[in-house]
Amino acid sequence: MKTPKKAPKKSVQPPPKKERPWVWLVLALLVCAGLFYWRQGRPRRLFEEARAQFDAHPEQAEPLLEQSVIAAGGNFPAAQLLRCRALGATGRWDEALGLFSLIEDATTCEPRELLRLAQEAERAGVDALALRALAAADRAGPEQAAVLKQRIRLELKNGPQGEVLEQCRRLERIAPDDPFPWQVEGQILQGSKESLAAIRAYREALRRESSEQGKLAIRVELVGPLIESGELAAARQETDGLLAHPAAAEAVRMKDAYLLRLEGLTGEALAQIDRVLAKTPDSAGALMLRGILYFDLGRYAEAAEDLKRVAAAQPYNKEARYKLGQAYLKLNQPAAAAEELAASQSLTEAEIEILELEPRLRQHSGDRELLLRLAKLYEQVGRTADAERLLRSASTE
Amino acid sequence: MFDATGCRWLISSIALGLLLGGCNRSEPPPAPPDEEPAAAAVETTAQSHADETPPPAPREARPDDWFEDMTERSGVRFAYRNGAEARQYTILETVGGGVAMIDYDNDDDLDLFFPGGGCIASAPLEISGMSGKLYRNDGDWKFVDVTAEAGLAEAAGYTHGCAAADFDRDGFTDLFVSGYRCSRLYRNDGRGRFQDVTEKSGLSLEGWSTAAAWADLDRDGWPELFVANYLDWRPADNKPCSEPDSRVRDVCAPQSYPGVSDQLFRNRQGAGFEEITDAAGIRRADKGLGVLAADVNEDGWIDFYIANDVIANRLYLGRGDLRFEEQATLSGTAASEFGAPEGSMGVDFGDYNGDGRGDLWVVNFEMEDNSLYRNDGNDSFTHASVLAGLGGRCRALVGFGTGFADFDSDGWLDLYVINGHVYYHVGRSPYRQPAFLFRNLAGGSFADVSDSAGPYFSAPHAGRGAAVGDLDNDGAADLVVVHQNDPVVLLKNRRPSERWLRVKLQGETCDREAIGAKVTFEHDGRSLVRFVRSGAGYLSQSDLRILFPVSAADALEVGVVWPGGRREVFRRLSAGRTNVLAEGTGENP
Repeated sequence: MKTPKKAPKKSVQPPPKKERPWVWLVLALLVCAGLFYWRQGRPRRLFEEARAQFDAHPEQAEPLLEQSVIAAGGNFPAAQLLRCRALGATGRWDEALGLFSLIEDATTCEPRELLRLAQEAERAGVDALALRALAAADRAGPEQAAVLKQRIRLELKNGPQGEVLEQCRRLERIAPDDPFPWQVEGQILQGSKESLAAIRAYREALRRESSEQGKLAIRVELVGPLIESGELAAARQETDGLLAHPAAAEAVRMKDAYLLRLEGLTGEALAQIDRVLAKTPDSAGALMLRGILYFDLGRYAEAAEDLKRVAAAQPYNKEARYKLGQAYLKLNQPAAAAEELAASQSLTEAEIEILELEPRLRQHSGDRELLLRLAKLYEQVGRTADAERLLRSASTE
Repeated sequence: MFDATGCRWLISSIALGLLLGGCNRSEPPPAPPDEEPAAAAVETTAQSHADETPPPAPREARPDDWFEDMTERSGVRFAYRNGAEARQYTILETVGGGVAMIDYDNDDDLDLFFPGGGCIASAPLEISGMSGKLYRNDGDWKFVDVTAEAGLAEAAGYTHGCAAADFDRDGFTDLFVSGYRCSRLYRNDGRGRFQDVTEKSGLSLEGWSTAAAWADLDRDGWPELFVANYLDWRPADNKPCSEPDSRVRDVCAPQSYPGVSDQLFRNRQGAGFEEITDAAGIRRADKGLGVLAADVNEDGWIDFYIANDVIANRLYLGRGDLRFEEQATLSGTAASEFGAPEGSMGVDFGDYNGDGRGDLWVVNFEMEDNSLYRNDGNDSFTHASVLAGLGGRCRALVGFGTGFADFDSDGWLDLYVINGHVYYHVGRSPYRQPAFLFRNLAGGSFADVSDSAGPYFSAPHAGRGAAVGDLDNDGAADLVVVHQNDPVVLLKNRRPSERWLRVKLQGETCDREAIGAKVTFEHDGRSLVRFVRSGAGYLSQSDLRILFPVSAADALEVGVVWPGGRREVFRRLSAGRTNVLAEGTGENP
């Protein structure tokens, strides 16, 4: 008999595990969620934590913000900005400036935060950072007027006047009742000898100014371009009004003395300027004017003494040096005269070249040769901040 | 539609359009006067693109006005053309024109010559000339156009200024006319005609010439010619310039173009001219608009003062042997009170403060004071504008024609200033500007008397050259003013002295005009000093005769220091007429 074939023995091994792709999917999702949390949630959490601590303990907020930025892969503008403020609060403004330049797109930051940083930087004298923050914050919104105002104030010290004028005109449109941009416009125009336009700007500022103190300040400034443009009667009227004011300061007396000279009242002008010098004996402006008055009166030795002091305090004052040279000529000191006149002429030539090159630089802002030449000229006429600004630009070109 | 002022402006514009007849001769003739005014007629006149609003009308005349407008009565109908209507905004059109007061026919009255200016055509930009005009003075404020019969009808080119002298010593006044690459020398043949002798005389004037002056520099009796040149500008170089903020197009500033050297030509005693610019030491890249020739430091040698645009002015002190030394900076006459180079145009030389020395006067661009340089002797000057009450006056304006003259016959030299902008749109002050008259207050300072000077001074003009001279021989200095595209104006001085003395110097060993001479007259216990100078003012030739007021106690005699230093006294002169004082016929002092 045939032995039946043994049925194959049933395997005792467990059946092969069924593939469970969903598990892997869940796991993957969990990993992603973890990563997401790590990349997004954690930086945000760290940032919030830092923000909560910032006002009381900026020094403790700073490392949290650093971690927050690292956790975000290096690009977390809000945290970077707050960290700049934190660094500033602990006096590390250099680091803050460097850090600000690492923000990929600062314009994505809140204008309010940028404005805060700018204010703090300005208070600390870090104008470069303040200006960069303000530039990023300068866009339509409730903060724009404040941003522009601060920008104007800072650029007036640091930037090209043409750009400040542009900011003023923007602010005039945004805040039509604000006297500030008009007053600054007046100052800029006066500085560039646009006296008639300066007068108009000051008058606009006066129209908008409500405080007596503010009005007084504008009127004092208005006298200058009135004199410059030859409107002597109007300048006299304004000056007399200011002199009658109990708060009439030395600036008004100076202008009065200048005006008296133009009116042919040299003696009276000298008396007035002596009163100014009694209170501010080292005022270069007052010494310059007294030197001029002595010169008018033919008192050349006294003129030279005053003008020498001005030239020593302000070696870039080409007018003082020219007048001093003239005084030396009258005193028959030709060598000293030649030196002063040459210095004055060299300053004048440099300023003329600056006037010629500045528009060219506006057209070719990346021209390194031009930047360097202009920087040298700025240096020559004592505009060291401008020279440094251009040298910085040249180094990046 | 128009108010009265607007109507007047429109009518005068149309009238001028008729008068000028269009710059391009191929243009259709302007509308007859009785037709409805056409916009095109207005368009072709004046600088209509400069001022869209009509200029304010002058005030009414008053009996006590210093000057009376005699233009209409005179028959002089002329307007200098600058080509502005082409709207090419060339710097060429900013310079404008002048006038010469010369006695070309030796009849002892002053005739008038006006350079014509020119036209500018666009695409491609081309420059062409307009004919000048010569008007013969027939007395009693009647002038007759004798341009054609004098041989001056042909336009030499785009012209600006003039300087007169008897360069060939034949007793008749010749004429140099400056212009854009077209300066000409016209010889007066003594029979009422002028011949163009430019090429024949060997004058090489290829540049853009503006002002000129004659003077005998080498004491040979033949006058040399100094020509101021302005810029190296050519039509092909005409740049589009605009105001940075507004982007409004306007004329380019003179800084946009390089300067060029002035030129000096020696008169080879009637055998033509040779250029001695280099040998004389005057070659510099300058931007000359005004020239004065006089013996500024009274050393016997002629000096030149050059008013430059936007760069330092020059004082060339004659050192003899046809050589000059530039001393403007060291003399204090190069720049403003504080050493800034200015945009200088008109210039003059006269003793304003009665100290016997000639002082320099220069008018400047807007936001710059006009400069009065007081002569302190020893080649040293003091910027005295403020001291003389002129600081801040006219500061907003652009000065061109100017000069010293004793307009009120009080023995003190007054000043006039003719203003007008060069920019049509972007200037800080308007294109048309008022003229000013400053009365000399006994040598100390000047008072602005423009309000009482007459209607002309009450309205704005696009003023340029001007000349001073006694056109009606009544003993008072009259004024002729040239404008950009607007009619010239003749102003009669209404303040003559009751008695007056006039002298005309006639050089024998020096040039016939005796440029550089100093004349002294004792009047009311003080010495009135006057200088014979050439090139003074702006692009113009003023009366070279010298006029003094005379009071009852005055002796009718004058002292003359001739160029070169010879001194003579001329006694027993006649009041109320011109006394010709020939060198060598006076007495030793």
